Amino acid sequence: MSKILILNFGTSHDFIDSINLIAAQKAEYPRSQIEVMTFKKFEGLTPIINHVHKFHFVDEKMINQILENPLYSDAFAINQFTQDLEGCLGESWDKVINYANDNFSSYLISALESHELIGSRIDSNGIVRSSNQWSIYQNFVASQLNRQVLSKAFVRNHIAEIPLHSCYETIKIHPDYSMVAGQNFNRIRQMNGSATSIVIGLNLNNGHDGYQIDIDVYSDIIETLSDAQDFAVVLLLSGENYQRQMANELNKRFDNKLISINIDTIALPSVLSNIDTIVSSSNDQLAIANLMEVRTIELRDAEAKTKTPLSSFNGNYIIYQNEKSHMASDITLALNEEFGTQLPIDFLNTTNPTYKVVKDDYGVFQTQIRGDINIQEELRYHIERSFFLQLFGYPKNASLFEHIKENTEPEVLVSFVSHLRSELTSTVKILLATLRSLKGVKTSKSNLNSFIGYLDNLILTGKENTLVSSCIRLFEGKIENINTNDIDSNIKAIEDNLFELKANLQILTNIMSDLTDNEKQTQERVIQTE
Amino acid sequence: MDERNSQYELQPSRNGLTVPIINGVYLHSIYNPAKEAEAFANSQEKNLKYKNKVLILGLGFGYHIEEIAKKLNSMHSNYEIIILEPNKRLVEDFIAARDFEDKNIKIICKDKVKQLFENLEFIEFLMSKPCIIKHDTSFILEKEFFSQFLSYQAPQNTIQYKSLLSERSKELFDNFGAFTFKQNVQNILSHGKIESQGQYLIMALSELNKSYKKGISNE
Repeated sequence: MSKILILNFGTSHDFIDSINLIAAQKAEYPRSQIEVMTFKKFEGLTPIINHVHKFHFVDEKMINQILENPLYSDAFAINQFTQDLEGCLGESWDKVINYANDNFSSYLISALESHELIGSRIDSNGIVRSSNQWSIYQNFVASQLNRQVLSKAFVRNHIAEIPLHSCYETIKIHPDYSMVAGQNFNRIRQMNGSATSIVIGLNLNNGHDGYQIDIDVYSDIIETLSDAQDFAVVLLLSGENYQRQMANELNKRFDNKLISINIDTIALPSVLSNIDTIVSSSNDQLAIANLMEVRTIELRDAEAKTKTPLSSFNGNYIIYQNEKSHMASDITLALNEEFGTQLPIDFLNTTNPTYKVVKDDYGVFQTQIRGDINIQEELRYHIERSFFLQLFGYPKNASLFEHIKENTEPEVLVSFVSHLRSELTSTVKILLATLRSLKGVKTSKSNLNSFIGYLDNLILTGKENTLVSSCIRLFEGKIENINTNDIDSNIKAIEDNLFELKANLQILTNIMSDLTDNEKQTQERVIQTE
Repeated sequence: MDERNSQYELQPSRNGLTVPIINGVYLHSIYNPAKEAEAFANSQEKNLKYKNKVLILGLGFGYHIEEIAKKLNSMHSNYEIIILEPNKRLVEDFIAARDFEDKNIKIICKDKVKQLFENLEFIEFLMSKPCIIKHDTSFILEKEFFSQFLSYQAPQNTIQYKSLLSERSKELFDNFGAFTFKQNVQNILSHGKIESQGQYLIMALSELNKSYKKGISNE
């Protein structure tokens, strides 16, 4: 029986996301014993997680309160820390997975005894080591992206070499709660006069990104749905005062006829399994609903710093708020699309970007279906996704490129390709100079410093926020991950990576060719073979 | 001779309640300690409304504490009171004469401030950010002790706090030098090599602290 430890010291979203990996690991290796080490603050979420033999908790809050306060001796923090780690330090593991990829885990993983270390770790020289190219991607490429082109869960499952599927039994549904929830929701559906009423859950919990759904948005939705025979609405609360106030205000507007459900973590899966769609900002309830494959409509602020939604299940919606007054219409449109209904819409032409999660042969992605569009950004998203999937061994996404060619204005596509080509050209020039400089090193080691200068310049091009830069950052990660002891082996490894980079940039060039119809351009080679 | 209690007596007040008089200081009103205690508790009402944990500096003979407890009981479903009193004789006399029936009240009697901060339970209580209330006459009497308590800073040097480390912590962090925790981290970084499990754990703990501080500053 293999003993597996998963270190998960990220956000609550990371914690919930890891549930799929845990289930996948158990499905692939039924005899494995899985243990998880995480923050004590996530203890409340653990009752609903399947397949974990034991949880270990680090009381981060107490440890840090002691460390930060000059009143208290650091000794107590160290004692607490030691106590929290004891269950894992003394064990010999078959595999330890650094799931959330934080610095704390990267040091901790190196302190543990294990046959295999998965993900990032910090070696004895203080250098970050990645277990495979997906881990390098996570550290050097994904960490710099504002909008993830490959979902974190997808990348992390690949780091752990476990496929990301949706058919695993991930969440524990408590049978007693399930029975009660089933009965209650049957009654709710019957209240509308039909046992087949569509139940919409409006989650009053704020988002982790600070986004708060305006009460008027919910009020408008409720008004629309109350007039419809097909729908029943429930308000979902998790015990906070502000939610109660919001529910009270909504009830005032709707004659105290609204149904509110106060859910704790253990009851949540039972409730969610009876809801047809949940409308929510980005929080734990939405993340769990997404994992359970409940339809979600995720609401986010268009001004938010990061544009990576929680929703990753096929068919889910994400709406970014530019204009508050359009939000209810956007939500209603999504419901109409989802259920084939004809709920009335106030604003058909919204400025709020609406995305839908779509599944293809490669995984899931988000496609914009409505609202103000930044076409260059959308093109970059789809092409960067396909590019990296191809780099990591997936087949070329020819159908995507065809689709883009057919459905994008030619001048927009030409502008995108020209811009990309110009970035590529300047980067390739630096790459070729670096390769020439490397030849000099093979002749004489005295040329090493000059070569390092060229290499640094090449790596510097990865500091921009462009598709080509992402490729350079992957290269940088591979260079950092070289683990040889002598100069000749290092140089050989760098050379191999430089040629791999060249090949990768060629793939990008080929993608540009696929996107354009011009035969002359398809024959043009940016990179001259040496 | 015990300087703290060079003059020590217990006198009955006008209404029969015991009042300690130590070195000429009356710890309560000699006329009506109960009424004085009630007024004292009323003056603290605003503070007690938002806090159900209270640290009281000075036992006196307990009258003010019982009034505080009554107030807390009326405002909160549960509460906790810890009293700091360095005068052992006073504590013994109090327990012998009256003691608290209320199980939510606890007396800590240490004559050195350092000893208070070696107790993890007391530290956990302080970390809950209790309301701190001075019993004025007790504070005047034991000004040095209570002032030291209020301005206390824990020793940061690992040699100084080694006695507080658990056996397992000592085992893991055996190569701590006589430095602060942060200095130990700096030493590892400047050495450029991580050479033991203990050093990996020190670095991990340092990162845990950094990310916690970052999280707080983002709130």
